[in-house]
Amino acid sequence: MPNILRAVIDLFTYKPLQKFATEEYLGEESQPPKNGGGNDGQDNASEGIDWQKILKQADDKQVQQNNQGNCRTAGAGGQANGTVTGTVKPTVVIRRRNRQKKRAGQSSQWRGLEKRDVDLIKNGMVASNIDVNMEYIRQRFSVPKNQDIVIREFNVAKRLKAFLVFVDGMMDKTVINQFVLPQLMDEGNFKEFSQGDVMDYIIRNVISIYQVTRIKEYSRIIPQILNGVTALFVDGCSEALLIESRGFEKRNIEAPRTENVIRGPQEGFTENLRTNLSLLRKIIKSENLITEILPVGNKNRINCALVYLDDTADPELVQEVKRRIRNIKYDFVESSGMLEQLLEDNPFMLFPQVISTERPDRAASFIMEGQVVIVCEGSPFVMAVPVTFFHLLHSSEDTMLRWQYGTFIRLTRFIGVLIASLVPGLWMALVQFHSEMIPTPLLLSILKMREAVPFPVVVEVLLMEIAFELIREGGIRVPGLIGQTLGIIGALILGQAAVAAGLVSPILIIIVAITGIGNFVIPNYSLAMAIRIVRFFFIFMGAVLGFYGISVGLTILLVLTCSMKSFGVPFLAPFTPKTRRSSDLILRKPLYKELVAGDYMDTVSRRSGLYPKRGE
Amino acid sequence: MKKIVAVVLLCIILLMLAGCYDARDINDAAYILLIGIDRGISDKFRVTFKFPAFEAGGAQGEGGESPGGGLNYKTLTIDAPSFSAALELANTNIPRTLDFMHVQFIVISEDIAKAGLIGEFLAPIVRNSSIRYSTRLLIARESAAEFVELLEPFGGSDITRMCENLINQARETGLFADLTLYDLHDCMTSPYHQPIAVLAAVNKGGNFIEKGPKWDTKYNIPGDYYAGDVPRKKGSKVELLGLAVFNGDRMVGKLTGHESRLLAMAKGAFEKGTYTIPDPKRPELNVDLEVREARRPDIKVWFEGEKPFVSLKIYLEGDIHSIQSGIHYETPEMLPVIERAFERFIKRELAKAIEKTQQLNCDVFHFGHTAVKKFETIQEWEAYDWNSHYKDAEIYTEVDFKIRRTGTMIYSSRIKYSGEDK
Repeated sequence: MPNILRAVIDLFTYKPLQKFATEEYLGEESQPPKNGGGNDGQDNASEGIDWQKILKQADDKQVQQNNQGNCRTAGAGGQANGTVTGTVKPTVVIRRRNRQKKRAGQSSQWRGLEKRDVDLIKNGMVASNIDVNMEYIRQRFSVPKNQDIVIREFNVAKRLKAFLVFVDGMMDKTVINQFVLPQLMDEGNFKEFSQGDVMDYIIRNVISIYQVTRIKEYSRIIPQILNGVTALFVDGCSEALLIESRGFEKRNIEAPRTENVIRGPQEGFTENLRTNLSLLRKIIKSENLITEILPVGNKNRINCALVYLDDTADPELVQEVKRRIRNIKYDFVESSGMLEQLLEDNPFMLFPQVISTERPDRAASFIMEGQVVIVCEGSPFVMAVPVTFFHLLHSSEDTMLRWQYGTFIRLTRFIGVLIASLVPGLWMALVQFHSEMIPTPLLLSILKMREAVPFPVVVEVLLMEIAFELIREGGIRVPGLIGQTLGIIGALILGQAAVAAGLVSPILIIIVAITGIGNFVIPNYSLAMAIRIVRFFFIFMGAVLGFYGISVGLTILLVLTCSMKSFGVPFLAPFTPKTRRSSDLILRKPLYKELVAGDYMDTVSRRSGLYPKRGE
Repeated sequence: MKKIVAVVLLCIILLMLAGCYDARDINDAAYILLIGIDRGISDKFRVTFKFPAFEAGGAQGEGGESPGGGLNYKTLTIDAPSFSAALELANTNIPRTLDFMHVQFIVISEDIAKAGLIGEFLAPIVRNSSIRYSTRLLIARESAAEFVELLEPFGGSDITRMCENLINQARETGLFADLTLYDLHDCMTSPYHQPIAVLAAVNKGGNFIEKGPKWDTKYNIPGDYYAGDVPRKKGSKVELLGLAVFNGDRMVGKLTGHESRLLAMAKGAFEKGTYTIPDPKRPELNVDLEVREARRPDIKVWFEGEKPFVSLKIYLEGDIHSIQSGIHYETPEMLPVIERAFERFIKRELAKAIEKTQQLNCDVFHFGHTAVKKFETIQEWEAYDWNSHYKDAEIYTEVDFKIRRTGTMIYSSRIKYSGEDK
């Protein structure tokens, strides 16, 4: 029997693949900052950059220019393309020869390029020769096939060749049109420039943009361009200037759609990362609030931000979250919902192990408690980890209201959870096995009502529960205007008519309705979904084994839930294992008596200050 | 993985196969509400069952009939050698399994009780796990079958509510008691006291005299009837009043409603009741009192040789409901007049009731529970055999009565007549 139990528990316990875990962990240790530069070669190799092609074309152009003494950039690209197709074989030959005499001096084969530029570009750095850079950019973005990418060539102060790269639609046109191009082109701005670093001069004296960065590595430049930043390349500079010009269409801040409160702020997160972060900053005005931005998704590289309080959140927790995010090997991460699934501890467990919220105030309270909040680009839901069962049942209103009211609504919610998960199962058990528990007058009226129903209770209950699920799912999917009508029609037809037709008994309508209402009380959508499924499990157990089955089911569920962890924190944390806890779990105390964070969060500073963190 | 799936499947299949075997849909059972037991004619016992009719109701009918309303009941009477045999025979003609979880009353006829057949008959019932030990047990004066048949909801449609509320009246009046199967069956074997059971009867209105001389100034003690004797007409067809006294499992006597109250007072189980006593100053008029038990009675038992002595002091308190004579009894000086009169009345009646039980040699007053404290071991106590010594006991009674409130009047004044009527 213990073996069977272990097998069952194993089934529900997620174990990461062994090689995956160790390898990734080492990898992370060796290169803490993502863009150390050491991995560029590997990076580029994977992206299949054809060095020879880039260098050849740039070289050709250089030679051409040297010969002609002026630039004909517009034609050069097309010309080069034409020649490349014809010269695939020589390229291969050249490459082979190249390999043979590595040390002999690579630059010898390139007539117009300096050796330094070739080295730079091969290492994924910006070359000082602008044609090399241009070709590199063209290759990376597949210009001109890719028509979103705009490469704007111009001359700085009528002297230096330069070009801007940006993604059309991701940037703010006025920034480029009014504050970058005119000033760069104006000769007057460069009167005082004599000798030295032209990039430095541009930053200090020419461009009037609030945020510009000089970056050498393409691996950092390219993602920035894709994020809407404009990159400026100037001939002779082995650096690119990233000009903050992001400006794309976005939704305004609106009231949260899924988490309504009566009392409390009515702002909700939007799909824009920056906006969301600013919403959090607005609430927590602390210099210790750290925002770390990590890209996610092998192919789509969306940004997600880790937000936490440096002096509160457990450093190990922050490390772990970062490790998990970095190690995501998934091409397309669309939003926080997918990220959640890639981050969670046990994908086979029913209950959510991450809490997501649409409310900045709620997210801020998570941060204050020592949780790490993950804000994901493109999703108005932010996630907080680790999470316990009690977090999932709280709503931001609990703390906004006075403690008596907060306690009351919270108790209501707990009762709601019990009702939503157990009532149909208990009903099954009652009418199948334990009719002695029903008060006699009620039993007689149930008898009377059920007399005309031809189905056994199981069929009756399942029929109604499935119908209810249909109404609910349908209500979400249909367009807004019809949605309400559907609810009414569903309730009327399935309730009244089913009873009149003798398909179900009236009392069952009450059971199904109260179960549904109980489910709506649950503030967390994921938990509500889990409870919806759990309900069917209890219907089964109740139908098969009566109250005994329900207690067995509860035990199984409880055991599984106990064994669950969210980022190392047990799911039922303050109760099992028992820790000194914040009293804010089910009952609330007056605010001044409440601790903000529970011990199970293992925060850096505890309120008393008497318990320094282990190992410090 | 395959192994785990196999294990899980196995568990599910086991549950499915072994789980539901005793599941029974509520609509597949006939819920017996009343059981009546008489001496049979074709066989040893005649068992009567009453259960709700299986009629569809509720919201199906468009007529606006409220769900659960208008329940009908059916009865079935079977002669059988025992209860279990009756069950089986009943299932030969009722299309549903009989279910006893919801039995309200078990009614046993006086015949059976007097013949000492109760022990024999109850033996299978108390072992049956589906009959609650807390089911109420009644002794029907004549035919239990008739009682079961005529027990119909009065002012409502629900027979269970009728039964519940009828029994609850015991607390309001004290004229009978709330006694269960346990009280009878367990007390049969008790060395401390003898069992009692509620008396029930069908009232056929025999004592209700339509024509005759009008009532004069005679005085009748309230509730001094046996079940079925109350002079009334219409109302419910059945009534519960008084108690049956048992010696072992043989019924040997009866207590009237009035005596049941005294018994309750002596046991400390009296909640409240109304008494009408003659006015101490003008005996042709009455004083109404609502009486409650102030605290538990003091019972002392001592022995002189084999002979037991019992002293019983009961404490009562009450309110004045009415003073017909208009004499101003409400003053602190005059209140004791009523108090003493009532104390004398209760003491006299109590002595009579105790004497009656002593003649039956049935300690239904539970004096044995106090007497046992005088014995060092249970063996000595059992050897002494209290139940057979009860008739020799000398019992002293004392009553303490206090009037607490006088209702909404603090001053009674005489009714004023004009002219010569004075």
